[in-house]
Amino acid sequence: MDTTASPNTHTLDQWASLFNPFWSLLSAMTRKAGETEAPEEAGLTDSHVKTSQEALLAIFKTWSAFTETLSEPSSLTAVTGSITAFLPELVNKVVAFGLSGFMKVQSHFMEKFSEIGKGTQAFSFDNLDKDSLRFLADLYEKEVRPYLKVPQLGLMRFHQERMNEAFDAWALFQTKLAAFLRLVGLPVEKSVKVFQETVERQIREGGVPDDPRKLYTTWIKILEGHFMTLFKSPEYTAMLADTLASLESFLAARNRVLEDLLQSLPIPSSREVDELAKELHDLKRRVRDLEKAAQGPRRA
Amino acid sequence: MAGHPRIPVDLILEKLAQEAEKAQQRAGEVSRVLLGRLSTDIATTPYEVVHQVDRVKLKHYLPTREANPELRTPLLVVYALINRETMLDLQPERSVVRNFLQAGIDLYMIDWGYPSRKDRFLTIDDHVNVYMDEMVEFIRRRCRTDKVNLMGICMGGTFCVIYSALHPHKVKNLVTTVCPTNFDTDEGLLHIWMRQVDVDMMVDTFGNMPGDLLNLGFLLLNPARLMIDKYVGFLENMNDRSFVENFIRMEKWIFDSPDVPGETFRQFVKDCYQQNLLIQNRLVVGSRRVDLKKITMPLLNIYGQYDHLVPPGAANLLTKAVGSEDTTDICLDTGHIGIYVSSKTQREFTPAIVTWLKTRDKAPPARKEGDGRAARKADRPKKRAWTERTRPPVGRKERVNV
Repeated sequence: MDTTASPNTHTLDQWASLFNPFWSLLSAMTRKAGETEAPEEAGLTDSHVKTSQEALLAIFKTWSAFTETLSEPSSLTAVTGSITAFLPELVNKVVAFGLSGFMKVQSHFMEKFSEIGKGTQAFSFDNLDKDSLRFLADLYEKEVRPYLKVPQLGLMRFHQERMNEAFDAWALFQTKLAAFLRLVGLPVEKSVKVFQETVERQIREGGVPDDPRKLYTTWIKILEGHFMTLFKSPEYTAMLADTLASLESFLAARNRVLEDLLQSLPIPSSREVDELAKELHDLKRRVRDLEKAAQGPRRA
Repeated sequence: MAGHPRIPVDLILEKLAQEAEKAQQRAGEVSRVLLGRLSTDIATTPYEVVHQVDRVKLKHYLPTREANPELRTPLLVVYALINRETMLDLQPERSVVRNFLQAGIDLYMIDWGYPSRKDRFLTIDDHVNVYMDEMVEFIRRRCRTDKVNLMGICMGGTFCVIYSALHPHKVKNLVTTVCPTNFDTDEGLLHIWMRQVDVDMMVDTFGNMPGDLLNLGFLLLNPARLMIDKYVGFLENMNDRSFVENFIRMEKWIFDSPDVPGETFRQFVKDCYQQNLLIQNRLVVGSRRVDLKKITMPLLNIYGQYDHLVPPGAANLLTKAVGSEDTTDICLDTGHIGIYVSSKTQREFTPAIVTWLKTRDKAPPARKEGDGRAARKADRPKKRAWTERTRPPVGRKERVNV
């Protein structure tokens, strides 16, 4: 390793070394899958399948070779050297910061990849991986959000703050929505597993599920059961409320920006219209009450 | 691999291949149905708008036969603020409206219309003590009667309960159908979810509650059935004209969702779903406390055994809470919507109401000018004669599971 390498070099080095084993592993996994999956058993004898696998394998190998080459200290120095040659230091820092964030995301995704295929417990949402998408929120909150909170100055300070607030609320909503959608997707994942087990059991017991409609009915019942279990869980209820709250925060922040904009145009804002509607509503009620009071005895 | 049996994809594919010819024939039928003329109009029973306050209209259905002397008191139907009253008249063969008319009922219905931004400040008080009361007053004047029969559906039923408690002298008989009155139950997901919702933030943000957002919430109550299975069923029956027409009618109705006035939604969620004030006689509407003991008129309470929106636990406490001694609970073997649209339930639901009303409506209420207290006292049922809870008369039971 070149001891005089810049921070970018270290970052790229880490990235490349992190990626290299991953591609090798994936390549190996694909090869292994290709060997163990007898196409005839699955009823897939088309030569296109093999061709596709080979093509995929080739892509993996190429990418693996590329990352290996990139992880060489000389390559990294060359790359970062060429970058620093024409970019100012500030931009380099930003790039380094961006790469650092990207690495965190990538590292987390790889962890999650490694968990693919691990069992999912049927009809249970007790031990949810609540932090599965938390890293996105963390990344945003630690690396981006502080910049939006930097005090604004000057004539446009107020508007800039509101814009930042709206962006902040939007970003938070996106993270909450992603987590919510993942949660809502869990029953599908779990139902597929249970469905597979159910069909396997049927086959072992001598039944051959050859009717697509029956298979579908079995699956939809399993899916419905999983949804019901999830929807009754406190985790889901809390996340639903949380997601709705973040949506509302975003809409409120967005509306404030729009109202600022409308103030500069000859268009009444919704807040102004609401105030007028409230006054009208109160007036109408008072008129009706007075009418009733005047007609009281006749309407009793 | 031993121990890991596979789905016999080859057999499934073979079966699919065998059915290819059938599928081709079916595709032709599907295209004929979908490209042909479909009768998908809803709410086709003739009516006239006889009164209107703001956006709220009072429909009077044109009678299809001469009035039934046993059913002389006009019936006012109050639908919920969510979705529209057209559900009661989805198609001619399965129309609660037509069935009522054929029984000779003088039928009125409130059409809440489509609330706009300016309606966001309307409260439950406005809906009950202004709009409903205006409509009842109009019918009383028009029909020269002291009282009306009141029938409420879902949230409209809750409004009818509140109205009957606040204006008992204007209601002869009360019919509540799939009507939530007890909100402290975990039987329905809606009841669980609503407790967690920050309704203040929601209403402050949205103003009126968007109908589409509410619909999304209802779809999420059972996505497997409502977002997948329902449409799989449609795909399977696309060659059946009648099925397609009925399906589209239902789609038209279910996604015809007016927004709900914000302040009404806020009060309904906070006072009912979160604090369950109504059944405890602690709900305040228009500065008046709603005391269910003041509901002394006969009460028929119908709900669905498999209702996922208003489960039995949310509906079946009402008859015990009211002051009336003539109460009947009917639990039908169906769900929230099926109670009005399923063919099977149609044969039970409307006849049950008509029979119940006939028994209590033979004599027209005497019109008393001036103080209504005399009329109220005269119309009060004799306790023993009308007490189903204590002694169910023949043909009527305290709780009927159909």
